[in-house]
Amino acid sequence: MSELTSALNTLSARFLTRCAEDLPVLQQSASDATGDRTALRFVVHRMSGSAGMLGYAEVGDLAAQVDDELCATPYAGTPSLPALIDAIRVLIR
Amino acid sequence: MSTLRVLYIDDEPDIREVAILSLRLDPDIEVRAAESGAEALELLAKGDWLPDVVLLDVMMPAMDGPTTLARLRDLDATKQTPVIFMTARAQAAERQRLLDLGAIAVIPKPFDPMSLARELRAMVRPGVNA
Repeated sequence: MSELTSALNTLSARFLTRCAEDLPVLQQSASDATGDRTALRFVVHRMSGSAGMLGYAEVGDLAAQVDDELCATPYAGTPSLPALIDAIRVLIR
Repeated sequence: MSTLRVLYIDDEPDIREVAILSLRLDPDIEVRAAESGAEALELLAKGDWLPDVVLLDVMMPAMDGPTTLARLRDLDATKQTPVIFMTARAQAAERQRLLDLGAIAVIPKPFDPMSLARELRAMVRPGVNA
């Protein structure tokens, strides 16, 4: 196994662990639409950059959608956030 | 093939690790990495190593990619160094904004780890922009 493949496998496992850690941030943001979105923005931006690279395309695409929604309307809703939360729940189940 | 010295700047450690290993698939790429614009500037200030090209994440805390690019342009050593932005937000308008800042290209995230080095080689032509 190449060093790169081995690293991707390790990072993939780490990504799932981090998803579990990030889930409360996403849930908090989903339940408090008027709160500070800074933490949410960093979480979804990081997810959108790494999920697809590690083979989790659906989570990556949804995270990118939420990222786009935050950039377009930072104080409005993030309609894709519930779908992202659901996708992460399935992933880490 | 001539050696290409690459400085990779990204705050996200997992992505940084994959990018480093991806770039090292090309034995003629020499890569160094920094976790922030500030760390990259410290590395360059030592003066013993200069990159042929900088791969620069856009969204980073403290000093973001565009600010880092501006700081690189303030230094004589990196005034002309080609910079390629890497971003998860690579829609046309954002891409154009980054090119207008002086980047030679934009690589969307997520990138393909198996082809990053090849993609970079195609973007940076020694004697033209490196």
